Amino acid sequence: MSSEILRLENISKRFGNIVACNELSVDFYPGTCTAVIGPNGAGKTTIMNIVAGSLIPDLGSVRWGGHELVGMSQHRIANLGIVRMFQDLKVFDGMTVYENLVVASGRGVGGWSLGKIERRSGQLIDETLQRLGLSGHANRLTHDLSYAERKLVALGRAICSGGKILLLDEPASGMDKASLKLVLDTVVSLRNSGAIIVIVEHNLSIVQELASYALLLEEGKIIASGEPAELYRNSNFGRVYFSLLQ
Amino acid sequence: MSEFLAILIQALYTGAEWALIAVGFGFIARTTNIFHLALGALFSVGGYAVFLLAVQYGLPLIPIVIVAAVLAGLLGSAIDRFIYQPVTGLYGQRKINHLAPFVTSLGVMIVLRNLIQLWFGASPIYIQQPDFGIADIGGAKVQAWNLLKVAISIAACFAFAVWLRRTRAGTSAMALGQSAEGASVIGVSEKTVRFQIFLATGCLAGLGGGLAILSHPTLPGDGFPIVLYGALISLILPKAGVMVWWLASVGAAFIYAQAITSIGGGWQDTILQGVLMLGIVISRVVIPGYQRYAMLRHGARQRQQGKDTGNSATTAKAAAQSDGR
Amino acid sequence: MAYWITVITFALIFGSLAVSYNISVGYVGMLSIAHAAFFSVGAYVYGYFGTVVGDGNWFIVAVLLAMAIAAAISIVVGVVITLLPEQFVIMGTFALQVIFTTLLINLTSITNGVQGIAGIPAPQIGPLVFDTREASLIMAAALAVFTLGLAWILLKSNIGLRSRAVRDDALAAQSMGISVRTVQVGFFAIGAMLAAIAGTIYAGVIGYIDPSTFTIETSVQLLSMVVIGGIGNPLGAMLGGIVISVLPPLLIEFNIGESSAAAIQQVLFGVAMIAVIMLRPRGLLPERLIARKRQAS
Repeated sequence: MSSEILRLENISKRFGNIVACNELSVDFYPGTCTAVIGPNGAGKTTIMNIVAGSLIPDLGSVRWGGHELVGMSQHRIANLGIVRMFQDLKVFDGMTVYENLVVASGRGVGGWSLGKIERRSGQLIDETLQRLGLSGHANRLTHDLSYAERKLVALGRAICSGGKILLLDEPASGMDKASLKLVLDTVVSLRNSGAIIVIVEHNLSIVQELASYALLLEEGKIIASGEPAELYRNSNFGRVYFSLLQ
Repeated sequence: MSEFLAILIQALYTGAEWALIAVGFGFIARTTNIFHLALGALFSVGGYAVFLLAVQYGLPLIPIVIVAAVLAGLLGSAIDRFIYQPVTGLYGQRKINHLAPFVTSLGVMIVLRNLIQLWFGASPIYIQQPDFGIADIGGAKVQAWNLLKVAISIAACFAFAVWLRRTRAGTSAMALGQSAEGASVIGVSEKTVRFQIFLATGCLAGLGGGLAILSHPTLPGDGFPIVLYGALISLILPKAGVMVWWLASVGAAFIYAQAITSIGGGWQDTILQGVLMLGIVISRVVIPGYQRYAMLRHGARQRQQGKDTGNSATTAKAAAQSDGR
Repeated sequence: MAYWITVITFALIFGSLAVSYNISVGYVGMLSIAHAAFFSVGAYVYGYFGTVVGDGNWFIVAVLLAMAIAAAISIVVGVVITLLPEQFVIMGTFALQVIFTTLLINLTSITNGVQGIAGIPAPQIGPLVFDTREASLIMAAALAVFTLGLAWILLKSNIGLRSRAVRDDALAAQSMGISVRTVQVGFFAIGAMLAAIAGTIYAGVIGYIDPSTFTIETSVQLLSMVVIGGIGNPLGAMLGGIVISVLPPLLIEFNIGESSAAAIQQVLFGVAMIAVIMLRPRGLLPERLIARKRQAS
């Protein structure tokens, strides 16, 4: 796995009068899982979108592996090794579970090859299916699966893509106990293999379980950061999360 | 009369007919995401209904134009209720294949247009233009009927605009365009509103056809290129108001008429469509592309200058790999 | 019998055209309705060459030139339409098809306008001259086999899977490293080139072409063939093409007058399209019917 840091520097983004990111700077290190938390509208998904290339910031830079990612097309960023799991999953409904993983494992493979990439990646796909408990569903259309199963497919795609940076948007939401354990174990395992993992998550106990570091965002600025347990004691955390109760 | 004035006047007459489709098409596309190509056929339904009632039954013109418009409107609502809604589902959520909504509206247009042709034949039909005398405009002599036609078209579109803004039904229709599901939870019945908007836009199209057949020879397929122009106009100006679409229709008709005069020989369709498509490409590709380019250049310049305002948020360093888990 | 050989020949040509359209549109989720334009490129290139030069020896050259022209046009058009939001693509290509037909009518020095080009020689490949009904049938059958074969290979390969990903969810496909634009334009161009080949064969078989064959109505017929037959399924498109091509001669067999036959044919197309979308939205032969299941080892 690459030992390079993902560096965001002075990222700013406005949508009309709304400030989504406000001169935000942060480094993400390999082999770590960082949680980005904060109320709705704080800018969490905007950061994900900027790193993944689906949004261009008004100012600032995103650097990784010697590349400047701002202005790069989304598919090129994905081919560099930055993989995303969407909040609304975006699994390929017209394909089977197996086919979804085949597409993911083709990342970086020449787009016009006529050969079957499953010959190359078949073992990884089968292992992933087994690890996520999806072997029995391999030939089912993802359209027919439950939300939790579809989320596991989305996670399986992230695994099979061999990404070095994983952006996971709410990996725990909508999951039952058993599926949630699979998700947590998988994320931990990916982190331990040296990937940079960034998660956006509202469930604070999951954040504590998964992340070694957390960033608290409000109106596009990082107002506090640190290990989750410490962060929860921060006065800003209390103000942001509990001010409505006062 | 100068050539420019003559072309402008011709554009007003033609644009008045086109606008009655363009306005309906644009509004339906905005509120339901449906490309209601069948409006082209409803245009013809209105025209041929006027022909049938006037020539075969000898009824007076003004009432039958209204009847024909209402007939086209009811047909439009029926098309939505029995074809579009089952295909696209309410809230537009039923995803079948990516061509489904377009194919269904195209299918309806093809069926109606050819049914009209089977009934009335493929030759042009014509009704004697109503004689309201000659009007004098700046020295130019024009048929008063044509002026009346323009006035009726403006009045109909204006009434539609007022209905949208001032009535409960109209504002519900606008809400539907923002979010169908959201509108439903505040008590807007999507079925009722859709009935109303397809009725209203069908009436406008049918009115257009009725006015057209009283002005010039008409063929069953006449509504087809007009709905195409209307679609392109509404796509260039998706957020425009009803009267802006009316004016844009006259503008398109001006280009068409100018093309006939300057170049002639059957190029007018190509030129108009080419101009409209150029408008789309400029508004949807060139301008956003330039904006993206400008944004990237600005960002790159900032990076080169090493801009650091000192107000940046805390640079947080994630913990090293030994985090004990 | 001879008449029905001709009917089947044209049915195979239009079936192949439908398969090529399916590749352009059905595989990658493009919404183009300008495919008849590429068909006309092939027909007019061979029509022009064949009548200017005067024999069918230039057939292969015409095919290659037609493919090159169709590729060039389709790449330019494809890049532009993939930059547009979805709703613009349909209407834009609609307008493009109408413009193309008008060009065919008005560029009389090349196309001979509405009079068309007559006396197009039968295609010749080396010593083989395809100047009989049976020979034309063989040529059309070869085209059908080639087009189906290519469509099948594309569908089953890595690139086929990626095309389906693009069709299902373009944003997700991009996040998997797939260049959506490259895939869409690439398939659009392949379909266009196949349509051009079909056009050259059509011109050589029929011997006479005019703009009335290459109108928006033809593009709409292709759309109905693909929708009825099955989007994304090459066999379905071929089936749809053959069924729809055989319909007008069948109507004439029932003594329905030619002009009425055309209108009835259109009504039946329209009704069939609507009925299929409402009752069997994936078409008569949907994609999944023929997809082989992958077995997890």
